[in-house]
Order: sequence, then structure tokens, then C-alpha cells
Amino acid sequence: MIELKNISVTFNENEKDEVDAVKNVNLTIEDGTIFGIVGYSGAGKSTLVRVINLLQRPTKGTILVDGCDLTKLAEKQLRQKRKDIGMIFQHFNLLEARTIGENVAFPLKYQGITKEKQQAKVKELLKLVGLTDKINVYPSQLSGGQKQRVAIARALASDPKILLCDEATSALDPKTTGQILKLLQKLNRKLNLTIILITHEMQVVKEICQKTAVMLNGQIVEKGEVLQVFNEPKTELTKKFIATAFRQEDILHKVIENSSLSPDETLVELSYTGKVTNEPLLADLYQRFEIKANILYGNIEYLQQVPVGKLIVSLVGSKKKISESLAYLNSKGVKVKLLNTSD
Amino acid sequence: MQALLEKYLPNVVSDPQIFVDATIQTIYMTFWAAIFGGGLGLILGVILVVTRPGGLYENKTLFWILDKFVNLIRSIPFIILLALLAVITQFIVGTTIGAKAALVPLVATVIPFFARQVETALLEVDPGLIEAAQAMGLSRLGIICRVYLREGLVGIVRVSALTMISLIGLTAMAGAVGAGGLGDLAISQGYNRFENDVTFVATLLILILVFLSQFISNLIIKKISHQ
Ligand SMILES: Nc1ncnc2c1ncn2[C@@H]1O[C@H](COP(=O)(O)OP(=O)(O)OP(=O)(O)O)[C@@H](O)[C@H]1O
Ligand SMILES: [Mg+2]
Repeated sequence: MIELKNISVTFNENEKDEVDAVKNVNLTIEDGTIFGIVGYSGAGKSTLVRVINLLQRPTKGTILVDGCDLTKLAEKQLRQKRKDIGMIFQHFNLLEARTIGENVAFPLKYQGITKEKQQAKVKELLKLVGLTDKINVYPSQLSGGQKQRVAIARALASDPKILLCDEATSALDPKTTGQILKLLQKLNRKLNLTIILITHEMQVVKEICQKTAVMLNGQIVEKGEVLQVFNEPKTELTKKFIATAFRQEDILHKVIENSSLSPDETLVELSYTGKVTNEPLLADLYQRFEIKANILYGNIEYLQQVPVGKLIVSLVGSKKKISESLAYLNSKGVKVKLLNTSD
Repeated sequence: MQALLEKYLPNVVSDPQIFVDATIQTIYMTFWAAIFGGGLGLILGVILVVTRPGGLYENKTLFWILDKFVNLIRSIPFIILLALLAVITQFIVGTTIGAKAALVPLVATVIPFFARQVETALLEVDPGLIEAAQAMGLSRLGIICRVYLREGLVGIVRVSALTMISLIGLTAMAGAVGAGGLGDLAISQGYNRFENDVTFVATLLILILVFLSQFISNLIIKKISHQ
């Protein structure tokens, strides 16, 4: 369990450019939770998370990790304690002069661990993050998502109980972000890893966090179970963040991912604007072509007062009939995009 | 061929041995000054990086003193430093004349020069790596050896070549205290006795040494760089 009690961090104290980066924060994070801290840039998220492993000493307050007060430890004990707290970063921070294997082995060196044990651990970790084949490659040859996987493997090398993630997905595209989040979730379940995740995207919190805290100007303005915070947001800031989390694209992805198609089904996306929305197109398909359309997802949005519709349907019927029907839809002004054919 | 050489390089052909000797002297001075000055400069450079504000061993006073000291020595022209350090040279090597004597001012110049270069190279190392290493529980000494020096190695090799090349230039000036070497040869024989062919060949040999330093450092960089 991590307990932050009355934590304040002031930079350049008693000087002209004094900044109160964190103000009197109280936070308890139970073992095995994925805890998301959201807030705009400059809210003090990084400062707060760096307090947890004491990379940043708080001006005031105490940090208890499993009951142990970190601020009271001597340097050597603190270094030992830090091995229980892994950390990953927005820009991955891999050692460019070392291979992936050497990066992962880095925290294991000079610890009295035999070479064989180190190698075994490296292989195990790379397998866990799905990068076994990259062991002898240098970081510059990896994509962002792969680099973050290596960083995760390296952070896990000393078997930490806690993983701090400072904007770990902010430099990645949405798809890769999703993969990294899934990996974190897997680690949370498999290793009972406590994960503290800093982000400015509510999307990330929505995706994997069980609990969340919203930060503004160094303070926590709202915290609680994710479900509860999403259902009854108390502050305007939280509402704003939540609105950003419901982007249609992501729902689309989910639908496509989760649809299991039988061999005679074809998945298509139909987009249409304006008056077409009034016509019973799908009923037409059945009457004219005997094509059964099954709606998986539907949405209408108004862009400058014009209705813009989007449907994802799976069509059941013979190949020939389906292509005829798609041509028919096209002639009616419907844009057709094949998403996934059964073969 | 022989006739051609005798026509255009008469003084060179008459005594080629002096070029061999001078080249060896230049290499001797460059090598030892690089070893001592480079070693001490590297240490000073690391100290400058870690004592600066925000560094691993932040120490404002020490940083201020070293920083000013480096600037001070760097401001003194080498030829004056030669004279200035004569007493110390006498004390250390027992004479103020010759290649060995020239080593003292050479090392004294190389230390702050190289330290500054090393400092710049190490400051290029991503602070994020230092932070990551700290988060992993590495000691400060561990971070210096395993992160700064290792990740900054390409930069250090690059500035080493630069320092080496400056050093070859400085050894030429050391001729002023009778240190010998190619620079000395070009001045005392080529220039003073109007033997232009001697100056020409001496220059050529210095250029070869410079290119060789550059070539070797490029080879090393190619080998250790993984960007
Ligand atoms: N070392 C420092 N010295 C002075 N001020 C600092 C320092 N580090 C952070 N700050 C200030 O503290 C405040 C909080 O910074 P912090 O990096 O914690 O924000 P953040 O929420 O992580 O923002 P971002 O999303 O941009 O990373 C900012 O106003 C920042 O300028
Ligand atoms: Mg930050």
C-alpha cells in the first residue's frame, strides 16, 4: 500500500520564481490497483509521481510504502527500496548504446546475480512483453511501442511490486497506446502489480484504471472509483476530461475487434449524409437482394446541422448478391467501406 | 625520380633522417600529453558535470571554482603558458628545454580544454536516462560509469579527436622551448634558413598525423555508435 500524507512540493522556495507544484496531497493506493492520475500539463502530476520513489523530495509530508517511511531512509536503503518501485517514462529512456537485452539486464548487473540467472531473467521478461526476437537489437531500431515494451521489461527486472508510469503512452499512437495498456493490464493481473499511471488522456483511465484522481494546479480536486467518478463527476474539469474519453473511433475499433464473423458474412461500414438517412435502406437490401443486414453499431452526429450517419453492419448472403447490393447502396449515395471479409 | 626529388626537395633528400626524428618527437609529445592531459581532463570534465546545479553531486562552490579555473587557463595563450610554467617545469622534469619539458605546459593546456569538451559531450546525455537509472536504484558512481561515460562515449571519442588535433598544433609551438618536432623543424630550419622544401614536407607530415587522428576516431565512432 502506498500512502501519501500531506505532500507538498515547492520549487525555488523563498525565491522570486517559487512554484507550488504539489499542494497538500493525500492519497492512498491499495496493492494491486491500477490508479490513474489525470490533469492538464503543469498540474503537478509528474512531480507527484516522482515523490513516490523520492526522485523528488517533498517539501512537506510523508510517503509510506508498505508502512515504510521513505523520507527517513538513508541513501543506500532508499536505493534498495527503489528496486521495489519500477518506473517508465513518456520518452522510454532506453540506453541507446546498449542492446535490448543489455537494457533489460541493466538493473540486474552488479547485484551478485550470476550471468546465467541474469540471462534467464532477461529472456523471461522479453517473452512477457512479446519481444523475444529483439534481444540483440539496439533501441534505435525499434518503434515507439516496442521501446516502451522494453522499458516495461527493464522496469520489471528487479521484481517490483509497484510500477509508476509517467505519460507512458503519450508519445504513442492510439493503436499502440491500446496495446501498451493491455500489456499493463495483463501485468497487473498476472503479477498483482500496483500501477500508478499519470496521463492527460481520460481515455487511458477509462480503459484500464480502477481508481482515479483528477489534478488541477497541484491539488487533487476529485478522486474515487473510476465508475463512480465517470457516472457522477463533481467538478467541471472532470466532466471535461470525461467528454474527451468518449470518442467514437474507439467504439468502432471495439466493435470490429469483437465481431466474430461466420464464413458467409461481410463486414461493411456505411456512411451517409443528409436525406438518405430517411430511407429504409436496410429493408431495401432484404427485399431486393435477400441480403440480411445485422447492425453492429450505429451513430448519427450533426455536423453543422447536417445529419451524418454511420452504420457498421454485417451482411449475410451470397458473394454475388452482396456485391450487387453494395453497388445499389453506392448508387443511393451511401459510402461503402469493406471492413473485413470472411476469407 | 631521384633527380626530380633532388631538384625540388634538395634539403629533404640530403637529410631525410631529421624528418623521422621530428615526427617521432611530435608523436611522443602528443601521445604523452594526450594520456596525462586527457585522463585528468576527463576527470575534471566529469566533476564539472556532476557538481553543477542539478547534478548528482551538486556543489555550487566547487563548481564555481573549477568553472572559473578552466576559463582562466583557457584564456592564457599557449606560448605564454610555456614561459609562465617554466618554474614548475624545472621542478617536475628537472629541465625547461626539450620534448619532456614541453609536456608540462602541454598537459596544463589540454586538461581544461578537454575537460570543457567532455563536459559538453556529457551534458548531451539525456537527463531522462539519469532519472531512469536513479529510479532503478543505481548509485551515483554507478550512474557516472554506466550511464554518463557509456552513453556519452561517442561524444567523448569525437572530442578526443578534436583535442588530439589541437594538441598536434600545440606541439608545433612547443618548438619554442627546443622541444623538437615537426613544427620546430619547419621554423628553425625551413623558415630561418629559407629551406622551403623542409617546411613543405613538415607541413605534409603534420597533415598526415591530423588526418590519421580523424580517421581513427571516425572508425571508432562507427564501431560504437548505434544511433
Ligand atoms: N525542477 C523544477 N523546478 C522548477 N519548477 C518545476 C520543476 N519541475 C516542475 N516544475 C513546475 O511544477 C509544475 C508542475 O510540473 P509537473 O511536471 O509536475 O507537471 P505535469 O502535470 O507533469 O505536466 P505535464 O503533463 O506537462 O508533464 C509546473 O508549473 C512546472 O513548471
Ligand atoms: Mg509530466
